[in-house]
Amino acid sequence: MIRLRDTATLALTKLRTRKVRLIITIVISGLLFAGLVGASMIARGAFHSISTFSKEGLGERYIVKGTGMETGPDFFTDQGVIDRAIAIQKDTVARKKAEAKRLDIPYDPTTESPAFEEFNIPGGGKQRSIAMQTDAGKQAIREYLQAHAGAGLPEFQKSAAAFNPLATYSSFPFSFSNEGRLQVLKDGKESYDQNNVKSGPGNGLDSFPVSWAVMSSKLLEPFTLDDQNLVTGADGSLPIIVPYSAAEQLLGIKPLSATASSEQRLERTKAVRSKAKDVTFTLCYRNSTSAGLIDSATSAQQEIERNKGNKEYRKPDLIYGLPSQPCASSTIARDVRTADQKKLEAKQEAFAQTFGKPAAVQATFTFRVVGIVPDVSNGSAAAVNQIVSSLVTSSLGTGWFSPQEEVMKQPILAGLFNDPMTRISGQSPSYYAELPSAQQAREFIDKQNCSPDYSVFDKPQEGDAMPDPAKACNDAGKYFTLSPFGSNSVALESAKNQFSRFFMLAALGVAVVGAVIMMGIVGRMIADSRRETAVFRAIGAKRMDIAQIYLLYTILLSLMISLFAVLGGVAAALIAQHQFAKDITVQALVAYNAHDLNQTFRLFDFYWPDLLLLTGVAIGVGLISVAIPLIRNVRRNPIRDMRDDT
Amino acid sequence: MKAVTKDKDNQTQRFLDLFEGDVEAAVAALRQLGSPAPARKTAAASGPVLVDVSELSKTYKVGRQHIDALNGVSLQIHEGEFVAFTGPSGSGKSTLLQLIGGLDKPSRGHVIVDGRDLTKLSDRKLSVFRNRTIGFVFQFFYLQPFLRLEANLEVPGMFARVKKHDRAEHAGSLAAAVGLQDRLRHLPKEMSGGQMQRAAIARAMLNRPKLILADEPTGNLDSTNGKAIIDLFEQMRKDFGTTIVIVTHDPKVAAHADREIAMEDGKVRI
Repeated sequence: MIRLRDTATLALTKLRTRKVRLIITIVISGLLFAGLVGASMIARGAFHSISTFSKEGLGERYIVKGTGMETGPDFFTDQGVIDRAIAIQKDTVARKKAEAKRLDIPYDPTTESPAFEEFNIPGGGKQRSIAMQTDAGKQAIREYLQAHAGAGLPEFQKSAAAFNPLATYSSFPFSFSNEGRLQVLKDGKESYDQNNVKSGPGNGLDSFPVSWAVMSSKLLEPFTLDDQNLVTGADGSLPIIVPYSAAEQLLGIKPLSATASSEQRLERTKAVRSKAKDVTFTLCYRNSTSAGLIDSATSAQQEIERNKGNKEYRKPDLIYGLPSQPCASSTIARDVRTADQKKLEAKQEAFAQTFGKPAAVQATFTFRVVGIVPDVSNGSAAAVNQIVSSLVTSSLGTGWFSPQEEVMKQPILAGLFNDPMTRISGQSPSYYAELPSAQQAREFIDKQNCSPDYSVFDKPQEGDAMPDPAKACNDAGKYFTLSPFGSNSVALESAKNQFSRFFMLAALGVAVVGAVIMMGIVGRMIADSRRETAVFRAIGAKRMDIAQIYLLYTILLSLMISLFAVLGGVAAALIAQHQFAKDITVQALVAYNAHDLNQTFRLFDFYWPDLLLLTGVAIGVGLISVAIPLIRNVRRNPIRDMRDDT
Repeated sequence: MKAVTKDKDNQTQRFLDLFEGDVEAAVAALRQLGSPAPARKTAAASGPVLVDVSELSKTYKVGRQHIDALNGVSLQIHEGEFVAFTGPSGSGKSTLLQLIGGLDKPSRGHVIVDGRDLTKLSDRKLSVFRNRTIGFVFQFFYLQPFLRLEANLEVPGMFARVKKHDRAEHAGSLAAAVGLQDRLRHLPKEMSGGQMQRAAIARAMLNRPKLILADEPTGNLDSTNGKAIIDLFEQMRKDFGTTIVIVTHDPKVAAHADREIAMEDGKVRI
């Protein structure tokens, strides 16, 4: 074995031959590895930043969220439910007849809609389905849902018990089960035009009715702004955490344009967060009767407007007017009814209320902003931004969040959340278990998660039964779809593990391609150096000496590729940092309710194990690629190589 | 046929009788008879034997054909001797040189250099032998193009694990000996053909070998430079007592040798 210094002297001469080919090899292989280095730096930087930011939110709490995956008959077509609806309707009609007779008002039972509908099914035959719009149908379903409560908090607690939960919590999403109405009063004004009240998914104040949820205070506490609490104020204001866009609207600030710079976004975020504290807004609730009167008033107004100038038009005898104050009860704008008419209609109203029509109820609730969460992401063209954003926004979630304990003190609001009919709209409550460690959280998910089997829809079913994707896991005693929640600690660890696996696989792929490329240059270089090898052998080099020179050459080449890869990866990560980090910082400051608004989200981090792994892979690839040509080379007869060359 | 064989056996017996049954003495005498008459008898020829080649044959297989490059060559070279192998192309002189240098293994026969039978040495020991005992000089110099002269001269020392300081010092004195002391920082491409060959000779001398094997050392040089190279070999022999064996086509070069061994068809021409 020759000395390392001498080996290096001779190996370095190899790096000076075929420079163009060498540079191309370094660049191509280096770029391949640089992609991995860049991915590593960006991902590790993001993971590190998320960890840092997470400490501001739910911190290192390990929370698992469970959403019920219930099985059971399809109650819309369930014969028992339909029979019950028919019976209810029969009984109601009988009672209505009697009541009408008692009140001496006309009642025509044929005006009652049937409690079920019948429709033809493909392949012949008829299928009955409950008529949801009828009182009897609703009542039958309500009774069914009350009798079949489904998996709730006790079941969730039971499934989590084996994993030593520290606490369990719940949340309930808001969903209307009747024709009532919720509206955030913009600038203190109520809008009566339903066309202007958007209730679809989106951001801002209009998103309230579809994305409001009540949640245990313990889950919301970390997301309150400085000096804010989750207790009903002395003025009766209910605490609420609002989406960022809604906070902007409440403050009367115009949203920034899509082209606004990150610096502008950051400044805006700071401003919104500092000003949003203690901002209040009023929510108006109207039940179905109240809302119906408002609709009647607006319809009458529209009708009168349409018939302006129509001399033959005769205004209705009773016209309801819009209230002068927001969320007040409707007024009577015109009443020219006769005494008999009034008497009859009063009896009819009493009759309707006897059979379920509620009295008009409207109420206002004052909410106080105590926290801000990010808006629903509407996507981004940049992949890096989108991936990181998805991790960042998974903290508390998006929407409006009120402390369950406080909201439930308000009977009207509590009634909205407690109505079992909300389950029909698919708005199931969610349950949360706080576990002592990430390991236990992961085990809980792995062992108790109900993963629906949607392939059942592709399989033939017996009879008319509807396929049930949750049946298999329900049969196994699993009733909840489980996922990490809140702090990202479990999701982050999972993401890290997934990234590590991806990284290993990608490194393997790059290694294969790199080996092919390096085999080209190393094999060629060794072949070109046959004469030199022969001369070295003639002047006393042993086979091992020759091998040593080429192995060091390969290691040096691999190190050059690694260096190029690291420089390329650093450049890529810095570009990503420059392009996306500021935007993500803004998002993360909101998502994690960061108290230190000067901290930044970094997409750049040296993670030495990844870099060492890549360098190792590069050297390994080099050594593999040099092995075969080197063995062939040292076995050759030096005389032949010298003779061939001359 | 039988009669011929019997006659040969009788001749061999009579020849052995002349040496009173001493077979080794008889074989040595036969070798002496088989060797060509030395061109010039010198004192060196009487020194200890450095190279002892006996019944050396080398057969190459080219496709299905077997080519006898050497066919039963026996000769001795003494320490301090300057020997020139001459002969036409394909006569086997280079092959003989390579076998003496341990670069190849013979098909038959033995090569004993400095008391070691090269046919019995392992590849590793042969490498050590080449490194310490032999200095090769090639027609096309074969210097490493990306190493400066000083590093080129040190290469055999690198393989011998000689300390940097020691070999650098020796390389410097050798460069001075071959008149290249002012070229130590130069790359081969910055030197002339004659300078490169002188450098190759200095490189061959680095590990103080007993034997220099030079294959057409002047073949790529003009006559002036060729003459200078031969003078250099002479000087090396004089200064260091090195045995010089060269292969050459050039009669003028061969005339400088103590002994010219002419070869033809893989045999030493008698």
